[in-house]
Amino acid sequence: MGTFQRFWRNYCARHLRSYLAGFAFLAATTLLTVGIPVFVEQAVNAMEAHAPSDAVAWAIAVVVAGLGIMVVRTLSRILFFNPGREVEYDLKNDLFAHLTTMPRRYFDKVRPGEIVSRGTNDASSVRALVGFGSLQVFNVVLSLVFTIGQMLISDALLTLLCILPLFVGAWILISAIRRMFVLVRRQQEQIATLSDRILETYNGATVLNAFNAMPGATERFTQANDALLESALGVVSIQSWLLPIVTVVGSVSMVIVLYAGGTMVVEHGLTKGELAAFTIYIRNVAGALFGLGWMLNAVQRGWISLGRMYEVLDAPTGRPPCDAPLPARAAPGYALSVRDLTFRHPVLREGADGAGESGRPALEGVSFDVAAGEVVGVFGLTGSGKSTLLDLVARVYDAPAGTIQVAGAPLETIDIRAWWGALAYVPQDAFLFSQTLRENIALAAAAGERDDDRVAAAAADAALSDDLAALPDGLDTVVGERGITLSGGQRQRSALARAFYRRFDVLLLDDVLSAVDHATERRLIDAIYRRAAGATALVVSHRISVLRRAHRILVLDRGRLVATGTHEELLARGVEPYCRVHKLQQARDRDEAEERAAQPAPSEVARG
Amino acid sequence: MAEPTRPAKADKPTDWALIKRVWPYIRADKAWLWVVLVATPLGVLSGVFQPVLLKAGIDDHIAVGDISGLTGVALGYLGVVIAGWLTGSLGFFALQRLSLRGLARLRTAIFAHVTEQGARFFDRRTTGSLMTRTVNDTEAVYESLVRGAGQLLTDFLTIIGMLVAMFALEWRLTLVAFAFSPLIWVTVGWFRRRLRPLSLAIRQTLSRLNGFFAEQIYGMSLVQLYGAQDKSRARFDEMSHAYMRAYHRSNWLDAGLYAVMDGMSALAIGAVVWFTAVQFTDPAPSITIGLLVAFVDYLGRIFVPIREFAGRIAALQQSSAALERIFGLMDAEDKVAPGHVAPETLAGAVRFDGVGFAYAADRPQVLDDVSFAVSPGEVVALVGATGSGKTTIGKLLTRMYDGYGGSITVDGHELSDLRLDVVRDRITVVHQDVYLFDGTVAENIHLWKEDLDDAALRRAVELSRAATFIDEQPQGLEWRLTERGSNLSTGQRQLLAIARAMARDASIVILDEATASVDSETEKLIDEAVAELFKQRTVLVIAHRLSTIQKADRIVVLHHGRVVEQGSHDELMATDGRYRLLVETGFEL
Repeated sequence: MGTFQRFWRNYCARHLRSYLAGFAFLAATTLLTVGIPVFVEQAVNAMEAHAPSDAVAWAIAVVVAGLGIMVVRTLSRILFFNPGREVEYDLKNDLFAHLTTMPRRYFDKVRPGEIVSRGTNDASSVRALVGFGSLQVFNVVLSLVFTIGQMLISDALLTLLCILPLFVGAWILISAIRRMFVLVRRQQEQIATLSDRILETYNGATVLNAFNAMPGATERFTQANDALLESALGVVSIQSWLLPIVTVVGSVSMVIVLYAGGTMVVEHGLTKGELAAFTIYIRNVAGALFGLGWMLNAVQRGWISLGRMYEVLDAPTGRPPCDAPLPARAAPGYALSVRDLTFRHPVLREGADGAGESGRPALEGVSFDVAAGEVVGVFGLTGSGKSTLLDLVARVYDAPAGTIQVAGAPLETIDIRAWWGALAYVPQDAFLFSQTLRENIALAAAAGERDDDRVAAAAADAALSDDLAALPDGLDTVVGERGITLSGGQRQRSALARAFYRRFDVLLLDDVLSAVDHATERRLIDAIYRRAAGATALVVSHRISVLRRAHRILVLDRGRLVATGTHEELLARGVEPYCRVHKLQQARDRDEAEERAAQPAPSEVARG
Repeated sequence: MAEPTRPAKADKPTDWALIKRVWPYIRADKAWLWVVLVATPLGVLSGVFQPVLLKAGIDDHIAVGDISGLTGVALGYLGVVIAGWLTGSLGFFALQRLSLRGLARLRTAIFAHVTEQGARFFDRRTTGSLMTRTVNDTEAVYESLVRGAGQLLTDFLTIIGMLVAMFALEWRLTLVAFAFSPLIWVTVGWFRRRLRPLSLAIRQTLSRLNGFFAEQIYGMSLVQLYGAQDKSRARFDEMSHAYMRAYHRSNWLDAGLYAVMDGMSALAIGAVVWFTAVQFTDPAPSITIGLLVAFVDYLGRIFVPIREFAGRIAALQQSSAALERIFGLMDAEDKVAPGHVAPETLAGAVRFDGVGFAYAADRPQVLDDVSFAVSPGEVVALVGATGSGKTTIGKLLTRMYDGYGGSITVDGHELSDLRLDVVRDRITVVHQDVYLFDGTVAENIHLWKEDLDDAALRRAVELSRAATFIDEQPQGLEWRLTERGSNLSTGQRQLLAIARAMARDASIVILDEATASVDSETEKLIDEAVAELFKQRTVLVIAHRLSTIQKADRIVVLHHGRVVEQGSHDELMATDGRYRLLVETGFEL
């Protein structure tokens, strides 16, 4: 049992003392709990013997036991539950820390929802295993041993008679719980299916309505809804009829105590005190057996969840060791050399029919050089491989070994965090975290080392000043999913400011001005080229106005590098689609200029 | 997330209003409600009655050595136990069934409400929030109903029933047993008061932690690229620690409450035994052993419902918060007018007359005084740069949006007067990027419309040339698409979009041409399919490709929401205007 040993050693062993103390208090709790029926028995026997003062003494013993239980039971629960929380906390932290080292390819393969579920739901199940589960294991064992032991001492035959149905009940309960969780799992799958159906319909609502197809979609929803209802009813049936079984069987045992015990009182001289004690014992045993059912379930589920968490914790990064230091930079920035780079995005999920062939490569046979300090534009239509090229240079994905070199060193051998430390990459999707704008811009700052002047300068260069004035708390406005939603242009400029905050040797910009209006565009282009001075830069854009100032422009078409040259050279050579797009954009710029003349104060168009 | 759940007195009518709104979903199962109301008390009654039988057995039979009488009591006891199980379980089952079916109906109602809304409704809301209402909130209602209301009735009846029985059996002993009850009240209250804000804090820290976790996973590349891993970890650690700390504190209270209630029942037993013992100083004690045993049994049964009672009421409040959110959504409406005119046939004459439109009152005008006419069977290409308004024209014609200015007529009928299903059946669309559903190719073409038979489907697939790749699959039309058609190429998706429109016998087609480039082989197939589409139908093409535009009978050029030129390709090329510029730049972007 490798997993168990690892888990014990890495997470649980340090709580051994807490467990041992908890165990001691649990034993005390159980003893006191068993004590109560014994004291009641003695009290009843004393009453029968007309020794009321003895009976009063036993009554006081019951009260004392009750008070004692309040203290020791609290402590035993705490001492078992708190390690559960600690283990959950440690496991979660380790999981998260491991995830921060995983490559993008891993996140492409395992859906984010799945990962989050491992870090949340599965962590809870493991906690239940370590806390509730382990408490119940000892609780059930101790209760059964002590209680049944005491019962056997009183009367073995009566014990057997009334314990037997309880064990049958426990067995029914355990199988019912097992069956229930099979149904619960099915129910969860059906909830997922139903959610998918609803999501798909809501997302496609206008399409479905356009085709007058909502009745059919509703039918599909209804099927999923009914299927869910059906399995939910199955779960509910078990909950209604089978889960109370232990209570019912406990009552049956009570009848046995009353009848068999009563007969024994009349015929063989079982004392009434013992009879009274048995009514309490049965309740205790039934309670312990009920706990057993849930405990087995918690243990089983926790165990599965632990396996699922280890699956993530043990997932390899899939990167060969890369620990070579960054090459020394002689000139401003680094020289890059790309040789015969062909890259195909991996097929994530083979379709059921094996029909998921990965299609043509995203990049095919691309070779070029960038001198240190050079600013190179990258142009191409959608799907030409521009973004892939930047992802490979940034090592978001790993290019085939030897295809990319940095100042003469193979990129894949360079320590990845050092390389990332030299970059400022703004991907196409301007992702903002649900934090303040200030924290978003200073993403690269180490904790507690944020330089607010740099933030302000970066924001100003990214033409955010006007927007900041309009935001409720300026730079301290919380943005992103859980904050204020910024327009597409604002998001792009915030992401650009994030790069500007950084001290970089290599600047990689992926179409960062696509949603920015004309007037702002000019200011941003100035800022970009000013900031790029002293670094090597790859600037991807659809916009000729951004590219024309680059030292050189690479033109990509369907994954192939079709031309390289300055703006003027490309126009002179008539390189398509560069020239076509240039002409169109010129016309559009002319229109916009006319319009600006016609109506003052243009507003930014936010294209999400 | 942090809904203030302050059940002030002013909220009471709201709760009643909620019940009234929930009632229609339950009404169909009224019979089951009666089952709940009859069976539940019977089940409780069995539990209340059992200790009485225990007392009778001990005092009336065992004490006097009457075995045959004891047999009778034991059999009666067994009967009560089984009857209690059957009725109690039946009551619980009936209630669960009632709530589950009610919630399934409620979910259907939410779904129906959302899906009949117009496009504006969806523009203003995230799908995520709609999903939360439809799935999570209904689940939350059920969860809290199961843990709350489901047991509340039973617990309440049990507490009342047992108290009544105990008082009836021996009121002095009852008073002694509950001598501690003020203490219980105070203790439970003390714990609950401290637990409630804590459990709220726990929920909040957990949701913050999970939100952070999910977001970091989505943005992990950025975190890595900007070297923020350590900062992220520290932040995660901090939030995770806050969550654990909140739980540590609530653990103390939770464990304390549990243990105190547990010990409390022992204290009550001690008190009862003590009182009985004192009675035994009398040679003829007024309390019997059987009575004592019965009381000890009662005390073993009554404390769990008391402990859980307050928690169940809190759970009930949660479900009413979820219901409020659900009905809030149900009250929001943005439907397209249903219309009332339903002509037998539509020849397909479309006329725009001075049409103006804005997506919302505070958004700019996207169409401004647009006028043009299309006669039946004519193919008209709408041409213009991004943002010229050509796509909006298509959206208005399919009635995704209401509220246009001016007049749009189809065969002389005002568009907004035509019945919605007529419009949607007679005017169809070829979408630029086809939205694919999880299902087979056939399902994605007929979209679960029953009146489309296999022959029509086959014809559509042939005419649209989609057959070229569908027939290559062993399952043919039953080929299952994965992950929104990730196993289809761009070109195949376009052919499928055309097939979807072809399958419908529409007289007007809006073809929103795709911009994405495809290989020349596929391009030829698409051209053929488009040519098929142009036969015998009125077609409005939102055009991007010259080859398509040249096949059109007429071209309408739009610029910033206005019609700037109209005519044939040759006519327009002759005038050195907008159209010529678009042609020369290849209609890109």
